[in-house]
Amino acid sequence: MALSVRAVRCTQPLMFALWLLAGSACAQSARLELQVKAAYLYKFAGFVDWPGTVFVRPDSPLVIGVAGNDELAAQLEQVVAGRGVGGHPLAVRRVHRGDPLAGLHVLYAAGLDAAALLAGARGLPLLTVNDTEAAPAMIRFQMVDGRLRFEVSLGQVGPSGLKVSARLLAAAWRVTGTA
Amino acid sequence: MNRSSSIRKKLVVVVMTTTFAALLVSVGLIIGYDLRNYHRSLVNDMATQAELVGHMTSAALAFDDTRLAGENLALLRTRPMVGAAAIFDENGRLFASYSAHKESSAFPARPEAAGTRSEGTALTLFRPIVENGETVGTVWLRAENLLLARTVDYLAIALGVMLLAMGTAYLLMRRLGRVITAPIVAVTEIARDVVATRDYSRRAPRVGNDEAAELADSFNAMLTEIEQRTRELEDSNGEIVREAAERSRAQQEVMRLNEQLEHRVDERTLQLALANAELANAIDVARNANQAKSAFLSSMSHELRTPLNAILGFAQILTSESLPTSEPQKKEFANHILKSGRHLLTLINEILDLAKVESGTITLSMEPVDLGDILGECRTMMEPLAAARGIRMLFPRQVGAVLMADRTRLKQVLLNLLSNAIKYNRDAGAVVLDCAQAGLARMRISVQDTGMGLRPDQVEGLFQPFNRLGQEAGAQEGTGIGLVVTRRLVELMNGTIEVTSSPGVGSVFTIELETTAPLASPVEGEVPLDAALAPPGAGAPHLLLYVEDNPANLKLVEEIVRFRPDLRLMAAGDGSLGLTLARAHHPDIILMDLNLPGMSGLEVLAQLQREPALQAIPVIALTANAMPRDIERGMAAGFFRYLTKPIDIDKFTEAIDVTLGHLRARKAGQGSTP
Repeated sequence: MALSVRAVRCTQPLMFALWLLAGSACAQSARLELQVKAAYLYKFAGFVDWPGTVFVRPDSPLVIGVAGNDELAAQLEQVVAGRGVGGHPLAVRRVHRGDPLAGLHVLYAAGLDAAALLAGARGLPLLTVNDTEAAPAMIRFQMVDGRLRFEVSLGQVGPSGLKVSARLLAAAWRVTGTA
Repeated sequence: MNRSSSIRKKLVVVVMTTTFAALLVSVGLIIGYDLRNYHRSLVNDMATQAELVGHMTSAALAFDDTRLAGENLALLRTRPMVGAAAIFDENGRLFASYSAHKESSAFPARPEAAGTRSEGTALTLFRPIVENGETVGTVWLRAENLLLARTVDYLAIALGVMLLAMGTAYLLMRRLGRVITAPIVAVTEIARDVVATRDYSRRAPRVGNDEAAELADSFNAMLTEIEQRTRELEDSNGEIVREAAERSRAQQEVMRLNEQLEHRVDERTLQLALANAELANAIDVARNANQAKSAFLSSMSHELRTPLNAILGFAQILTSESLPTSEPQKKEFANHILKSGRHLLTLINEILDLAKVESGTITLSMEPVDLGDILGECRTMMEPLAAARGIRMLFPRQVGAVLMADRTRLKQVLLNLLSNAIKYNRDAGAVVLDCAQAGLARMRISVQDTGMGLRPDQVEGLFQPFNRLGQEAGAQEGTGIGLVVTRRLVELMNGTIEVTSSPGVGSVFTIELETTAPLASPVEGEVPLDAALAPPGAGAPHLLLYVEDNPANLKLVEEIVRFRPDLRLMAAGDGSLGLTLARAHHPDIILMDLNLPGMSGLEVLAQLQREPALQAIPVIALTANAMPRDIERGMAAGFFRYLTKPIDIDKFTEAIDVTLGHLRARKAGQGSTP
């Protein structure tokens, strides 16, 4: 499938639907997974409230940091182009180890630096997302029955000062930990 | 009853219609309002539900969680009205669905434009799910629209309410309607009764104080008016009937009167014919009378000329220078003149009497008159005349009858008859006067002579004026009027006069008069008469004052007084001078003319009577006012005697003698009394 940015945006629901219909039996291409993850990352922002102090101005950009997965970052950049959440335009930043986390609102961490980054992000008003249980994050992607689901760890959310919408929790596959 | 029940029925219909209309409008409005509210709230509710469901489901859509979407939809079972629901994803594919009932519901294949639609009894709604400014899906809801059922329910309720309300209104109306209809029904029944029975004294009862009461009042007032009018009408009808009866009666009366009138007209026509005949007779009589009057006038002229001829002729001889007459001749001529003058005076007096009798102006004073006295006076007066011709007069010895007559006129009648009997008797004849009772209260007096008698045709013309029965050329003088006057006077004294005569034997004139009860009083004037008859006494002459403005009369009286040595005359030209002389000289007798210049004789007399020194003097009137009325008035005024001109010397002398006798008697009375 040769996809332009525009094409991906337009066809994403179609693709998603096809994937849904196809179920786990369908070919699990990494690309499709990336696309779904990119869409979820963007959508998570709509169900989370940050403290008012995070945004300098009402129209300050909501920055999503991606670490350890440039493909995903690229994919995400395509998804968020021209979109916004709650009046804030969306922006994507590639994060590496040692980069300051200030100015980020969402942080996806994968790879080797994930643990360190997530540890550094702990206590910050920063929605953290990862794929494994190795490093604790607020939201963890998980494949269930061939479908991409996510798990919310309230224990991680608590100290950050973020507020996660109940609707997100309802849509989560599993919610763990309590504050 | 039908009419009143119809009013009540109308009232009920009106009230029911009004109630029905009010109920219809109000219930309709309430139902409409409620249904609209219901519809609106249903739509709002569904919109809210859709919104809620959409909001709840947006996360499920975002993270492709159909299970969550289904669970969210399943929450709609708390809303039983929602029959079915569905959620479509952003691509229009059915994402999740819900059905309240087990049976499978039909879901739309694709989402449609947002909005509400009614599909039969169902209401469907599409609503987009917007998250973060993006349309992530569409909610579809379908609810059972209970509008129809609700409407049906409402209609049933409305029907019930209406039935209840109308029933209540009807019951109320039946009860309360009487309040309005009862007075009207009462008035109506009274009106019907009045019309049926014509009894206008009935009155409608007044109930309450509303228009019906006013109606009753007005109706009663109208009844009163009608009653009054009816009564007046009946009265006037009765009046008209009565008038008609009276009119017919009057008509019958008129017809009867008409018949009588015709009858009377016939009678009157007859009477008129008779009267015409009488009138013709009367005209003849009048013509005859007229002729008689012409004849009378010519006769009278002749009779008056005859003595005048003698007077003027002898007077001419006496005054003529060319006819010297000896003293005896002069005396004879003067006697002729005197005789003719007396005759002329008698003639004029008799003519005047006749004229008075004829014109009816003579007035008689009817009084009881002693016939014996009258006869005695007549005999005394006639004796010399009879004796001159040697005629014996025979009078009844004793006459006690009292006649109802005028004394003077009765005497005149008797003297006339006696003088005729003497005049037309033969020498040495006889005149017999006889009195006899003729029936009750009638006295017959007859005078019989022994003259030539009269033929029947002469008797016929006996009572015509100037008819002297062939004596015109005779030696006996006469006027020819005496018997005419005599007959009229007798008739005026309610008497009759008849004459019977046989030629060569004599005539009998008989008068018949009424008698009355005998008069007891003695004849007046006897004493003065005796006194008057006493010879004129010697002594100082009596002073006589004569008040007279006419010198000729004064001269005559002076000549008469000259022959009386016992009288002395004093004259005054008018009343005031007379009074002055009377006061100065106190005359024994006053002679008074009545028509004086300045004061009249009556005024002078009155003045004399007012003065005590003069009132005792007897006053004798001497005047030309010879009418009986004048004489009466004069005697009433207080004259002692009333003498008329021309002066009769004998009467004058007698009056003077009587007055002197009266004075003597008074003086003797005054002398003996003290």
